[in-house]
Amino acid sequence: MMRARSLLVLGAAGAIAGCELEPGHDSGEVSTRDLLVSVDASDEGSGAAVRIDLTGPNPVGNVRLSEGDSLSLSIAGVAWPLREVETDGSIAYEAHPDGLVDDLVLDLIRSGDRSALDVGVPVPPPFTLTAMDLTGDQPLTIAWDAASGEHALDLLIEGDCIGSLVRPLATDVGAYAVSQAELPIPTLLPCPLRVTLTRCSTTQRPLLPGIEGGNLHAGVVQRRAIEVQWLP
Amino acid sequence: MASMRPAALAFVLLAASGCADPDPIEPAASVDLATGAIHLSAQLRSNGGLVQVTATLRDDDGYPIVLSGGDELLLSAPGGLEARLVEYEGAHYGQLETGATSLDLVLARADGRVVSPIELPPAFALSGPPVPASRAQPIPITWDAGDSSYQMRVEVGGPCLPSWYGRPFSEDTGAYEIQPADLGTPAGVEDCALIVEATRAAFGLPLAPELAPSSAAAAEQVRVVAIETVP
Repeated sequence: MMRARSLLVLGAAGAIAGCELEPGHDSGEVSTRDLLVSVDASDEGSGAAVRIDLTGPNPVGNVRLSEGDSLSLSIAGVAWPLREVETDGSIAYEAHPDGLVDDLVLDLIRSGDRSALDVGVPVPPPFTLTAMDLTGDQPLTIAWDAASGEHALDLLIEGDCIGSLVRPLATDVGAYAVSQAELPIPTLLPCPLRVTLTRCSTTQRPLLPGIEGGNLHAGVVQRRAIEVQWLP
Repeated sequence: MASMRPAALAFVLLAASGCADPDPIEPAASVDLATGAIHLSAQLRSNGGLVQVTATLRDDDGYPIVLSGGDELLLSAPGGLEARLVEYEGAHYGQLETGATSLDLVLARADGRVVSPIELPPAFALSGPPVPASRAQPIPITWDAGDSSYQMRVEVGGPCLPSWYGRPFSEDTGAYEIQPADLGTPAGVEDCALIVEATRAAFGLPLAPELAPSSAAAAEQVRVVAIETVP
């Protein structure tokens, strides 16, 4: 009831002022149970990036952590500082860990509301990708560290001489082969190809276990790319 | 009601008359059309022993044509084999038991037969491992390699796969390996048959010049093999 009333007041104030509310509204005016925490993380094998957006219900929109509230990120027990950034008028919190080696753990500490502690964000396992050049009539063969788990796996093969081929893989068994006949006929040989394998996990669940309202949406990607040559 | 304005009354009458449902367009009768105004499209499909055909007839505006006045469609093969196509919901269907790859689609009219020779893609045999194959290893399938001017495609499915997947080929090399990573077999599945369907296809085959210029056919050779697999 308190939450509904404060949102009503916010909306009415905006309407009376005859202007749109500024992005990056103070978190102190948004209940944790009205908050959407969106996590977008990727690890390219040479460094990772984590971006966290906080969003309140309409008409609040984008939320900026106000004094007394804080957000922290750790991976495998190592804390990674989050920096407030503004992009296109929207506030977000970013960190650049060395790699996504384990699940992300978030702590949202509120001074005047319920905190969300030890919020886990599943990370698909990191891997190393290898591939062999295509020669003669040999297929393109790739290998990586197999893993079970609830993640999607996508293979992308691209090159100026063939365009691109996208292939979702049903099972993460650590090996794959693509015959030359499955690839577009190259316009020229030798032909450099870029092979990219992506593991992606998505999460949508309540921010506070067992408590209605407040949500966590996360998309976490492990992506590795490698160059190979298609030789005559 | 007596005080209802004329515009409102007209609206009520229109609504009551069901004006939202226009009269269905009456299909054209073939007997009323010159052969050059008949747009024929056909798809032929052979499994090596049976050829099936689906054909549709449309007029210049794209509306269906109903065969009438003794006009009929026939599929004929060497050796005097001939089948009359039957109409069902606007399309015409027929089949012949033959392994022939040269067939004729015939529009028989009172003033003569309009014959469209259709050449199916080259026939081929498809085979997989003769003994149960492990789904943990690539599973080879082979067929008779062909001219890459045809489109070759393999589809893989089966009762233990969540869905079928397809692989088009830029060259018809006669070989493909089913990759374990493409098989989303649920955990716990033991013996399971994979169904592999290989299709060699040709599109845009011209039909008899007497017909409307847009007339064309597609032709396919399809082979299916079941491969027994174990984990």
